[in-house]
Amino acid sequence: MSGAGTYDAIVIGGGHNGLVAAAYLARAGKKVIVLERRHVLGGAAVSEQVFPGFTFSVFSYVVSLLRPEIIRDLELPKHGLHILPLESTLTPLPNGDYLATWADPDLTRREIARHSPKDAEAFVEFGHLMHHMARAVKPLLGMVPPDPTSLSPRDLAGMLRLGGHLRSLGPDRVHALFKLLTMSSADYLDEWFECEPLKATKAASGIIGTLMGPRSPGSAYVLLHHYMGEIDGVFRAWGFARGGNGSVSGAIASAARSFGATLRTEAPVRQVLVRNGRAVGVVLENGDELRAPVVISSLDARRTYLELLQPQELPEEVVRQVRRIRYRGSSGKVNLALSELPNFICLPGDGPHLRGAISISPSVDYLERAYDDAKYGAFSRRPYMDIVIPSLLDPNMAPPGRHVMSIFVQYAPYHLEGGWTDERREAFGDAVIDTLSEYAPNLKSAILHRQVLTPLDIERTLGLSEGNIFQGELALQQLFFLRPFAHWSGYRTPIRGYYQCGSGTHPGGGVMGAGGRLAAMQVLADQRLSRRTAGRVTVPAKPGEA
Amino acid sequence: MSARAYDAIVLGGDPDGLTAAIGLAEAGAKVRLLEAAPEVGGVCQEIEFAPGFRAAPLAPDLGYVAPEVLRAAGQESWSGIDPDPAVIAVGDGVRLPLFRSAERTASELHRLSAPDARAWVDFTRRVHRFCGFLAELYRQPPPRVDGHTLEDWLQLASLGRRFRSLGREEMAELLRTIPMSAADWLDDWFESEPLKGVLAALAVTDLSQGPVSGGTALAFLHRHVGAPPGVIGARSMPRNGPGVLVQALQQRAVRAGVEIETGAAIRRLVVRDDRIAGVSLASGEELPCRMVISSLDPSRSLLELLDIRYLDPDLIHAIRNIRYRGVTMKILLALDGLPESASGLASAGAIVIAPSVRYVEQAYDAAKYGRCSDQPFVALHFPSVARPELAPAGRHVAVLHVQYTPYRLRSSGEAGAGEGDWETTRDRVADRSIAVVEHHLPGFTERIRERCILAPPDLEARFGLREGAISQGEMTLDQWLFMRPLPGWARYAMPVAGLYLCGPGTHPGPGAPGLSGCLAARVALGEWAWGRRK
Repeated sequence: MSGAGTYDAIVIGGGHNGLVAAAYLARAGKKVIVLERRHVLGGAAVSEQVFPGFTFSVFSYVVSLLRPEIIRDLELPKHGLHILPLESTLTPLPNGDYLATWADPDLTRREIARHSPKDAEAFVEFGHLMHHMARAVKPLLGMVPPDPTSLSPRDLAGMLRLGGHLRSLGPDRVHALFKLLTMSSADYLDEWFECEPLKATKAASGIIGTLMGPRSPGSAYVLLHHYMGEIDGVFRAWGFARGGNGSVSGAIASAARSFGATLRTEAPVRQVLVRNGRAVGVVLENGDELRAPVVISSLDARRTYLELLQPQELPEEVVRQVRRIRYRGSSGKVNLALSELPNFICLPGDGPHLRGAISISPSVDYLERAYDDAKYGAFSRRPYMDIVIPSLLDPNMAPPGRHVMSIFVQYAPYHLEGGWTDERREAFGDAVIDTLSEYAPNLKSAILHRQVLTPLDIERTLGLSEGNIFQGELALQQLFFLRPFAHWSGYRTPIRGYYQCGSGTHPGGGVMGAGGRLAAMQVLADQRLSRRTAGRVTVPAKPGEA
Repeated sequence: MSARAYDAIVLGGDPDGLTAAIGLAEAGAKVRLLEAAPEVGGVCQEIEFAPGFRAAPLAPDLGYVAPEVLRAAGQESWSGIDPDPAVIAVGDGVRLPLFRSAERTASELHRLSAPDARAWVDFTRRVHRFCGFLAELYRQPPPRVDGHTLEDWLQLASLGRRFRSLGREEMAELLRTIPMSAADWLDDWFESEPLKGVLAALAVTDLSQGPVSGGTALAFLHRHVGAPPGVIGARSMPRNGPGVLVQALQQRAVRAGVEIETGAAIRRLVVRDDRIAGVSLASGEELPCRMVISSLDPSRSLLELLDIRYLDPDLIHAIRNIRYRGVTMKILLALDGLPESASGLASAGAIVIAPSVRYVEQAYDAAKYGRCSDQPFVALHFPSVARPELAPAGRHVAVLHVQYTPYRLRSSGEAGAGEGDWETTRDRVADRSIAVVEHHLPGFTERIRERCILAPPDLEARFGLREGAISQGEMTLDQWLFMRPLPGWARYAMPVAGLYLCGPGTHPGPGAPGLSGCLAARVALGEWAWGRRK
């Protein structure tokens, strides 16, 4: 297909949010096209055979936060989504011991009690509280954030709803929530536990994708954010998608196609076309124009506003706000093709401990020192790692007897002192492998191939500014009604007909799909409104107007 | 001593204890104030640290003296020193004064950075407007999260109106700024490292956080509540020292009929029938009363003076988790004169050695691991310049504020050399700090005749500050407003009927002497008057 076409909606970016938006719009009968720059759809949720016979979840590698309503509405299991739970977390320790948590609560209790009987009790209670907190926060994930500075009926109603919801939680839960929003994960966990590996493994959820340490105020929010996942009604269950994370976006893409959406790869967009303050379509890099009264960008705010638009199309204030958004990618990824399973000193051989997550997080100090390196522009010499061996859950990911290992790493700062070069990428990969080898000495000799991805690689490949995996830090000043920035957190942009739907919008990052869905809902609502007011006044697109 | 019951006993002769006592006495209560030290004053105390040399180590600046506190002290205002520049940042090849006039500072900044010079006036205006809102917030008990009375709704409505008066842009900006790190917030405004360094140091003063930590932008604003417009780094410095506030309050208290007893060590609070019945002194004497307002730190008031069976286990857990985390060392120096290199600097409110944000952040890193900074940031001032009576003729006093020197040191033997304990560390850290000053003010060291080192444990022992924390509860977002000192117990009344807390450990927090006492008294009176009517 080439040349100009007219659509009801154009979605820029075939990441999971863009695909979700397209699917919902197509399901509502709209003629939708998705334009993806790369040769594969999925954004950061892709599975690629980087080396023959070995399938990597190249970037994002686990599932939990994908909204249940999306799984249901788009019938994703029918389209190939199959999530296998990750049932355990193993934290190997430098002294040859380990700490593990299992799906079986009794096993877990006994295991933690081995380190600290007090913590074994507290762990159960902690789980309950986090469950309650996740439930408390859940409605906020599904709502368009109301703007507390606005007096529009819509925002006032939203504030009332939010206030009502908070009041229904009761003061104890509101206080607990406030602590989770503002504290450091280390301080928060210090109130519950004494055992260092337990604290560190939990605190590690608070540093994912974030240039913060476990002692940084605000990291407890990131911890809570990663607790908000649900699988089959079970909160806080992390899972692995059969076929790798590419099958998540693959299922969404299949659903979108089944509703009639067109999905085009190798179709990079140069610019959004704007006439008289309205979006009217896009221009591709190759000069082709496509027309639509609705254009949805699933790219981050920097690209959505500053690259896809001409500077004069935006008020100066908006440009200023966009420039202040912090990205600061801090994560790296190392994907390995292995000739054999890693042999951990603490639990030699194969076993259930390899079929969950493996966390290199022996103590809070360890994580904090890893962060200290990054704070001053170096990658962590002894990094935090979250490791999964997908081939043990889905044998199709690797040839028989061989394995793939997915290693997510903190920290690898985008703003590396001196910049990321090929040499430094390899040095970073070496630091990861060297550190992991301390726990599994056979690792180096088992590596058939390795792929190392730095934030610069992530930026170049996926278009994620500064390699931030959440399209913008998950810090309070950039969350909720301030995400991506004040007054424009509702998926609309100052350009009529131009919408935003990526992780850079509420509710933020992780493979959630919430932004895509809420943006689609907004588009549909605006169209209903415009039909109602057709012939009267033009559709309002200013913030604060209903 | 008469055994007649008091209506109220106030614990702590600091500004908050005094204003609480005044508030109650002026409403007709019979009040006794107990102070363990030989003199009232709390953090405003001036001490003679060497023969003929005096200084008030904890209050170079009184902070925010709210209108109600002035009223309690019977003052309209008093003449201040108003040092100009308020702060001067000193670094390698840098002398950056922050004058009281924003325009004057802006023209100084032109030498460093033209964009920063252009931004400065707007920055100070923005700070002043934000702090105006915070002042309103601070002059009332914190709004209730679970409020349901008409009074609660009225309070929220009134605060909401005040908030809205900031305008849409500044409302959003304030909400955005509060959780930010000072580093990011300053990066939004400025580019020059020396400027950002000194502002970052101001943000983290007395805080166990670095400028890269979230919430430190709020900490910066907090320290500027009550500052005159355009002034950064200084608030209220009375001509005759911080003691004038205490003296004025003490006089008013006595005139209102408050009995002030010093040298009175308190043993515990007496509870009967689930309510406060009196105070038991170390001497064995028991003073019956219906109400106690304590300005001692919350952990002391609730866990040490009270039988904990009167407290919920969850609450006890929460009290034990209040973070103090003193990180400040004060070094009082008797000088036989000012070094040449300090001429032109010594009249500033404070000389700050914090050449960049990174410098301050690196100093903070040590504290995370229970060590003292190898390269601390230091703020010093010479109070004897404006107040020659503090030192013998021709001689001077220097007060050094040093961070970070955490109360809890980790002992050697862990990965990364430990510091040991304070006995062995104190002098080493003081030497290090003086060396930092020497580097920027050559000739400083040889002027030193005597030194008095107040490390966190010394501040604790001498001034009753738990963990040496002047804040009496670390000023972070989760220990602010309706969370201070405990979530749900931020309006001064405690779970035991008749017991109230005030002091920096309560709302609004440190740097607003006497304000919590005024508010606590008002809250107590609301209930007490009701009790009287009953």
